[in-house]
Amino acid sequence: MAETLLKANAWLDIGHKPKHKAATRWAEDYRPSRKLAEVFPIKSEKHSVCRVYTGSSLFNLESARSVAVTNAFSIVSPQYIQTINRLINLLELPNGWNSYNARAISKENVTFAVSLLSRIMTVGTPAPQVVPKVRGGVQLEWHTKGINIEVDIDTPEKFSFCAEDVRTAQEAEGNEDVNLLRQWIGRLL
Amino acid sequence: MSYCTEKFPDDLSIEAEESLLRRIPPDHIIFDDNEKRWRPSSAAFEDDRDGDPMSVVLLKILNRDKREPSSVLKGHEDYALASITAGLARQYVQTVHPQPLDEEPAHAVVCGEKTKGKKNAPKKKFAQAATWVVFEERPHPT
Repeated sequence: MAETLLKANAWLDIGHKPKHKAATRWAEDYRPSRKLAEVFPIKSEKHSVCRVYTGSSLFNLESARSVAVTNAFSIVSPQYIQTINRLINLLELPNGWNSYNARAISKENVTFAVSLLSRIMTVGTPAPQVVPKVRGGVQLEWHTKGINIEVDIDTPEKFSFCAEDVRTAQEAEGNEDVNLLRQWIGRLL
Repeated sequence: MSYCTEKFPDDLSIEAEESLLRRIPPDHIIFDDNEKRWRPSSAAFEDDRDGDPMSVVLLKILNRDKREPSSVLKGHEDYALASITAGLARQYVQTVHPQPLDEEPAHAVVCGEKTKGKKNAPKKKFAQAATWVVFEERPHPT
């Protein structure tokens, strides 16, 4: 088979930043025929690295290469990959996954979580523990280095979080406050 | 009168120290590196998707019926079983209401708001205070 078909959820290193636009356009073009195809850029010194996923369908790597994808599965932050993979795996949970009638996890909530993580995680940020919620949301949790952070995503575009430093008893909580959340995430480094 | 006190009134014959058991799916077991232990996520102590109150099993009824706690996990062998006390639930403004089902005579519900208050949300307090009744030890993640 001449075509290279990869299972969904592949990582694509799309090279230097100028190519990012082309990859984004490719993903946009792909969207009508697939359940989900999005590009999530994250910053690195040399590359703009994107995550492309298409739900449970397959996508054509050659098509991606045509927009100058230089290398598949290349990434700078293993913690970020680990987290995104875990989030995407949650999409496989069926209704009733908790034995108490829980709802399947919504793609929109996962997409929002991916986007939020790209804004708050840096290369050294430990991977959060990713937890499904009974109404289709996701929860991101860090419990390390004396810091507890829980981020709740119950509907797309909205999140709330609470954080505490168990050593100093300092606490914070907020809704849609990325800057404050990023400050707390910074304490995990 | 609140929704819970009307629909699921607290049964004070369930004593404060009585254990309420909750099945914990693998996806809700987290490692708390600050406490160096595995514990349930707070997400494991939310009400059902349709707003029905959180289901639990009364250990006292299991004992009465001479059933092992692990019997609650029948069909869910990779799950764990955690316990909170009725007193803890009441401390966070919940009612504890027996609701026997054909398939689970020891079934009860814990009714009340669980997510508001963020850092002091009952679901967080339950997760922190929960003890394992059935749990397969596993190595700490690196």
